[in-house]
Amino acid sequence: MDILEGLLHGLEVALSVQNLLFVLLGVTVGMMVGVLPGLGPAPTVALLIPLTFTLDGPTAIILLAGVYYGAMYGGTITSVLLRIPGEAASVVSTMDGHAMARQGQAGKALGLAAIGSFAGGLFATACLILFSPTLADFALGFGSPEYAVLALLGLFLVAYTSAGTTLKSLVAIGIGLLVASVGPDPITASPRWTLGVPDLLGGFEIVAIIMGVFGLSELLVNITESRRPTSVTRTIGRVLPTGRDIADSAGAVGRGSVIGTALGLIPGGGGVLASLVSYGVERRVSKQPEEFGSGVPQAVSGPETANNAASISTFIPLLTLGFPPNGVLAVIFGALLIQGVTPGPELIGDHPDIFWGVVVSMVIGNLVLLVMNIPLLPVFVKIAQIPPGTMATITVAILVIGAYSINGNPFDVAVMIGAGLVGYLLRKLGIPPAPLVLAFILGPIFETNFRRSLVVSDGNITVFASSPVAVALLVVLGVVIVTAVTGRLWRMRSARPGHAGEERARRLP
Amino acid sequence: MTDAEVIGHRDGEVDPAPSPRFVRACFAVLFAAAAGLTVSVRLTMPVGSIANTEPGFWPFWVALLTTLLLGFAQVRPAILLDRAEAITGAEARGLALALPVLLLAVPALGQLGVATTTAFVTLYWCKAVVGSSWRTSVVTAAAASAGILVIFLYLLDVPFPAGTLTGF
Repeated sequence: MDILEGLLHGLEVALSVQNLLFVLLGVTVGMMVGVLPGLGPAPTVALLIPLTFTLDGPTAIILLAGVYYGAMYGGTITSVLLRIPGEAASVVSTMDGHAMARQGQAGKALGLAAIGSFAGGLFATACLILFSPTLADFALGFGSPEYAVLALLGLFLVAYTSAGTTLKSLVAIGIGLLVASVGPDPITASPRWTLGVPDLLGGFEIVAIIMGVFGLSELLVNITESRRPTSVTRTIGRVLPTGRDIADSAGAVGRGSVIGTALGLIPGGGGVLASLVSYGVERRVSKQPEEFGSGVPQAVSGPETANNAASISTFIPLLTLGFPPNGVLAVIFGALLIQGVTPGPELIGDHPDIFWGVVVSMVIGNLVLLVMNIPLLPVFVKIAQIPPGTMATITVAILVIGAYSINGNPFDVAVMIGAGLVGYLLRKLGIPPAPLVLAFILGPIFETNFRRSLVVSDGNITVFASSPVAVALLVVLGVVIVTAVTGRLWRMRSARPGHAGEERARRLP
Repeated sequence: MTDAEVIGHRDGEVDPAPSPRFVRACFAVLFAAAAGLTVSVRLTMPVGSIANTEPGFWPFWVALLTTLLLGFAQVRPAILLDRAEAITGAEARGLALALPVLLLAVPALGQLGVATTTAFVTLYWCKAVVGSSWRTSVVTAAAASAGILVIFLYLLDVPFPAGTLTGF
């Protein structure tokens, strides 16, 4: 199936009444999630997984993808109007976006952000269409050694780019790998660490782990959350930007599209990293960098474009290589497994409905968001004021019923609660939970391919450098490790004595 | 980075600093657990060799590397404390109220069925954990559990086992 045929097939799938309704539902829920502080896209997508059990594959992924990129749009609204980022990727817009709102230009900021997000989403979708089939064809030639090295590279990149120190991220990865090793050995099928519990013979249920680590731990972290907006801007003003506004922001939107699409491909990347890098680039290319923070339109349109582009390009490694680059995509990985679909290079050929249907739905979804974003602003401002306690009650009900609905087995609810407690404690200790979930997914891929390679090569370790692709991946892995180590040494040398947490300087706010 | 972290670090609000002793103690427990797992794998599972990997090969090396990482963290207090947050008294009280009902939900699902358990959990959560009035709690719990059950049971047709005591 070539690209044109694929797109026509995707149109057929995405334009069915059911899928159109689920695009609408997904982006609406996503926008609401983006608007509500404290409930990010990963926990929400995790909460929605049980709802997809009875849906068919394309519809399920269309719904979850819509929530993800919808959240990128929604997060901007509260960032600009309330100076509260509804989700992490919109944190940058609290600076210049809210400053514009205080100057009576909230509408202009939101309009520019919406148009930028739309353009970034379209650019990333075009890249997804153009590059994914080629990348998947290329990856079809991968053997076990290439997959093992790729999984290892993914784990290191996740550790390096996650929030907090690399060491803590590596600890989270170690815990995730250990949790993933409970159950049958992937080569011999012998039970490992099952402690005689029949429910553990198949290992931990991935959805229960995801719902616990992302959903319940978030709920527990926010258990005393009662902060209310302190800086509300009620005057939205003119929403549609002028032609001149758009022309002034065109460069920022173009740069944001490229930055977001590129950073979305990197494991551990995604909207947060993309928006921060875009903000930095805009400041660097600006003729008046000193004005950043006081309401510069390019400081809103660039990052907002980048975070939406990243949320879409993150699907490229998942749909072509079978590697989820961040927490949200890890959840979608789990949803695909539940649908009986193994993400990887065969997905485009074996399940064209899912790939092309989801791709075309992204174009439709972005268009829906652009249209919905502006007239529904007052509604979303109201939603942002829903009491956190009400949201928490709804969330706890979804968690309990959702985990129980996986197999109708209370054991999965117990696993979800255990994972939630572990996730909560890790957060309190400053250990990011997302690497744990990604390691839980990538661990079996790495172990299976690593051990299979060793069996085939009779224990010859050079099998991992037996092809040009494997060597190239090893070189990238080496560069990542050297960069991490030298960066750390450089920071230690330049740090003031006794100043803790210097790594924050290079990381997220 | 979670949304809560982002929100927590804005508006000049600073998350309460954790007690270094508490953080060190937690990491020490993690270190001991990882070391215990390493020893346990070595003693209870065949590990094999590079040429002939056995089921214990992967868990052993992962547990060993995790132990080493946690051991290294023990001697670097700056790393241990980075981004760590204290569990405040209010949070501890919230957890103490929330955990029993979550843990009780596990056996209750089998005994009382999904509808009764959900109604009970949401009512308890709204009243005891969130601290709403009885009236608000009853209305919110009824609406939340009914709405979600309708979605799962009737719109999505998810089959749930009946409670052994209630029969539904």
